[in-house]
Amino acid sequence: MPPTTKKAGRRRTLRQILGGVRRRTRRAVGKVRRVWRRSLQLQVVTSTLVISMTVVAVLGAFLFQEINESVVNGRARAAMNEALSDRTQILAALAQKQPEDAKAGEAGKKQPPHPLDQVLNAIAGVSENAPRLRYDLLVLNPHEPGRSRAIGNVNPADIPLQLSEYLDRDVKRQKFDQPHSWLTTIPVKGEPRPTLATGVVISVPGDTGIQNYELYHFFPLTQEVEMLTSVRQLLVVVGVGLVLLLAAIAYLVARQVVTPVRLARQAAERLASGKLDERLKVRGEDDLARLATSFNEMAANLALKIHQLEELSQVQRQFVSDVSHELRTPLTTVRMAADLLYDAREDFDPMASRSAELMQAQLERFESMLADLLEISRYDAGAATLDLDSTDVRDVVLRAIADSEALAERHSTRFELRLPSEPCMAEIDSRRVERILRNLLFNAIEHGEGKEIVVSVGADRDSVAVAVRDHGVGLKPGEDNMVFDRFWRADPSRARTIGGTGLGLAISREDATLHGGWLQAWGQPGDGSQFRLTLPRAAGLDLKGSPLSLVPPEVEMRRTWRGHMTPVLTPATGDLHDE
Amino acid sequence: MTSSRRALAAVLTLAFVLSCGCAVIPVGSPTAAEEAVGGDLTKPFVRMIVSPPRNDWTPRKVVEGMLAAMAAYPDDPTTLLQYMTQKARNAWRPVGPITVIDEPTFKEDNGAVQLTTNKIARIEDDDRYVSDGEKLARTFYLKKEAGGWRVDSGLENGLMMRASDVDRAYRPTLLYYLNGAQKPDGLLVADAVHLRLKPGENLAETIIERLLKGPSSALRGAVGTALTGNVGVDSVTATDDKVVISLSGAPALADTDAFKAQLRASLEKVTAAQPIDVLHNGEPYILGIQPNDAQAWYPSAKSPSYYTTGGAVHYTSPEGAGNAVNGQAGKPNGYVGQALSKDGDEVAAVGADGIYVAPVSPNGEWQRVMEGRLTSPSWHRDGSLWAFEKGSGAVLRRDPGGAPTRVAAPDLDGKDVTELRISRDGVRVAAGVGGKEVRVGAITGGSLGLMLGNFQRLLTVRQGETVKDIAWRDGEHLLVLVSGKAGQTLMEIDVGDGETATLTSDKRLDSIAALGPQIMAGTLDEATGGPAEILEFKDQQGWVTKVKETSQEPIFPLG
Repeated sequence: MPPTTKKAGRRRTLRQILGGVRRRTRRAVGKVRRVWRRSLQLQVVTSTLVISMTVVAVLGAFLFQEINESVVNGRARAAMNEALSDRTQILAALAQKQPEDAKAGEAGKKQPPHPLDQVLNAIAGVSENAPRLRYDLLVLNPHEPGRSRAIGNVNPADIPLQLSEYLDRDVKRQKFDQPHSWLTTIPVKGEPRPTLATGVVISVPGDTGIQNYELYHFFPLTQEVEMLTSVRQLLVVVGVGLVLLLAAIAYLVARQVVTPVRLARQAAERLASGKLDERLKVRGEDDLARLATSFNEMAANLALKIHQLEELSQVQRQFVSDVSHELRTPLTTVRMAADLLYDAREDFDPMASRSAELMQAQLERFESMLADLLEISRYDAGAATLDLDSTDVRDVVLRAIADSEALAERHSTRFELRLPSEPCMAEIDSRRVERILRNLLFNAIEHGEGKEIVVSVGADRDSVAVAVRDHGVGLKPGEDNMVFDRFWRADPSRARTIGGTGLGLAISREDATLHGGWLQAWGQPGDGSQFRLTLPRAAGLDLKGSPLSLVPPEVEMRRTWRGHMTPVLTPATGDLHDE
Repeated sequence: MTSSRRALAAVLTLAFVLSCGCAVIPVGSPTAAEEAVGGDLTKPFVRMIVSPPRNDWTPRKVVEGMLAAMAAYPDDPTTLLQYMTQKARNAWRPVGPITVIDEPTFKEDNGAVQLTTNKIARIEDDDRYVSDGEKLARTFYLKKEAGGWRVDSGLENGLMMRASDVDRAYRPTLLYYLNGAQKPDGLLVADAVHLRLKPGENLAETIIERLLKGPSSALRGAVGTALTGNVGVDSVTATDDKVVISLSGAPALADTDAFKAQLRASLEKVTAAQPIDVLHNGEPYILGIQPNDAQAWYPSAKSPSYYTTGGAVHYTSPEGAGNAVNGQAGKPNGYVGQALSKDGDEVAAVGADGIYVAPVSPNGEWQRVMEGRLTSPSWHRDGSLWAFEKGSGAVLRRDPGGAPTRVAAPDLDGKDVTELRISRDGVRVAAGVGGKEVRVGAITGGSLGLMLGNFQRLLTVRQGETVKDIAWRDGEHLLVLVSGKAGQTLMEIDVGDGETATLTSDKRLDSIAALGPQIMAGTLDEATGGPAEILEFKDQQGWVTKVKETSQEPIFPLG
């Protein structure tokens, strides 16, 4: 069914894309978070940016509001004055004489314009060479015909409702000298123009009673708006500049502090990696200089202490080695005597015979312990050398298994061998590798609780590996490293059945290390444990991975089924060999 | 000085410097002056605002309010209708010329309001302002409705405005067009109109819009314009040092210099000295039109003056009498009505059987060019000679060296034309008809189908008066000498709006001639009735003797 396949394919692709995107995002976020957590400088700069932005925004808003208010208030005051002065002028002109009943003049002779027109012409500067009027004006008297005028492009519809209400109230209260103002917009060529409107009542006494004129002024706020716009732009530019400047300052200051700290960290890291000669440069007398001085003193003290401890350790190792050597001679004598006694035990009474057997057994153990101690001290003294030879590792494995057969039978334990058909040649000291494998097998038998032991051999281009898997009690978390410590014991209460010295795994590890290889352990309570030896095919090669996985494949598969993705394919090198 | 003291001194210095720098207004430097916008061009104007009639208004107030609403009608066409009943609204149409009236008187009688006043003028649809002097009485009948009194009948179509409303809302403006002649002889011709100020538009915008619409009916077909096509005026903005005109549409520019002159002359009243830039759709179109760009396009007002004595043409001199001109024209003869051509090189005069022309040259001989009973000849600036043949009642025109041809003049055909004068710009024609009337028309139709048309009655004299002589002063002003019982009156009439001014009255005056500011008159001796001296009108004040010797009439070339 091709369509379904296609659909499924597309769906998968989509899901893959989504997954990819999510993965990438998560990775990016993780990277950012890592950078954020690692960089003190970034944290300081970011905090400064955020705080200064907040401060600048708040201050800018406050400042702008203040400027805005003072500009508009100043304009409003000037506008009120102009409105009042025009009101006075118009009032004087209208109160002068009453043109209402003026008779038509002589035929052909022109009448002088109405006083209202005269005064408005004067205000507008129509006749004189006056400067251009900077505002529009409305004079309204709806109670008399033909007594309303406008200067400029304004209409009664432009009057804000609130303003005309104020004026109505003034007329009712007979209070005429108080101008009112209102901010509004009036349409000019289709666009709203911010305008300050003022209104005042002119009350003119006349023959036919009092006439009330409403006088409205419309002052365009275009210039103010332009000015405030440029002020706002300036504030924004200055604000942004200030924030950036503060960020730059924070960056510089943080750098001044962080750089010595970073140098100190690097020095500490180098010190930790063993370069005890590492020291910081001391410049000046400030806190950072004092920190450097203290660090240097600490490093010097540390180096001294380490040196002392090394010497002490050397003395101890020498002591152990000497003691082992010194014990050997009397032990040989004791051994000879004990052999005599042991050989003649048939003739003793049962009590003495049993004692001779016990002495023989413990002497053997004492001897092997002494041999191990000597071996270890050889390692400690750096005297251990390799006798390298190109050998098929499978043969070594088979030899070790043959050596362990007897013990396995005693524990009714079976071996399962998983050997490759190809020879696995490697340059190794077969005596030492055999000892390692023997150790691992004895261990497995001892802790395998009679269950099957799987021995696998793997090889790739650079390395060979042998894994020994048991199904015993397994290891608790953390124990996979401790097993290689000297005289470490999983359960101190458990009796040693095969008479191990407690140094076997420690020696094995030293052997592996001597080869430039790894010896690693994995274990899980209930699942048993697995030890893996990885060796380079040629002496001196650096190991990059192992042909066998440290975690047994069946355990890995079980985990995958449960949905826990674990890095199966990554070589399990990190735990033990990262340092 | 210790270090702490040094630090203190440094801090104080810094504080001082900062406090100086932070002064609110730093003094001691010049400030940039605020740009003054405008001048006359963008000056605001006072506009009538009208409100609907009120409940408590008397019929008279309603009629007054309606007059105000008529004055505001072009800005606000809705309010006027609220003064009318539905019936009046249905019947009334705002068509026809606007009647300009004097301040009216009202008589109110039981819902009827009688309005009595004088008609001053009318404003035609093409913005021409035509003077009128008739009485006007009209009765409006009002009806009481729910909202108060409303005008129900008595309305005539068209708007009626008081002169004061017209003064407020209209601006008399001279638009300048071209006389149609080719470049060296091209002149500006003024067309007088009354333009209504529009809210939201400045006067310059209104003027240019109207200029681009073409001349009024007085000059239709007689003048041309340099910019044609479908052109709109977007805006006219002015600063102290520049006026910018933005045009849109598809202009067709025939002659840049002529358009510059037209624009400059038409805007002369509103833009003083700033250069004008014209933009088309925001792109430069014509830049830097200077104030003197129109100068070369006005007719020259400088020319020697002449007079005749015994038919001989003489120059005037600073002392008065001067030498006779060369040739036969300078010799005494029996001819009358002498006229000089544009450059003063030819003299035309009326003889017994027609019109004779003599060149002003040492051997210039009189030569008859037109036959018949003719009015005094008048020269056109293109060299042609014009006269009215009284016998056939037709206008004759003769090109230099050609034969006279008849020019159609429907308005003058068969009339008793006593005077025919072509204006100096060669566009307008003034005619005295029957000694009672002066009409002004224009030479229309160009070289093909030339005719005299667009005649308007300019002046009708009163009973007992006669039009004795007419003379063009310049393209817009005509001098008319009217003789009455009390003596002669010299009037100056603006041909644009018909405005008449009486310059002076003097019993002696017999003939006139004028050129720009100069006015000269020939006189009759009161005792003998024969020719006396030549007078000059000085400083618009009074007459002074120009030529003492006995002389007949003064002459200026053309006009």
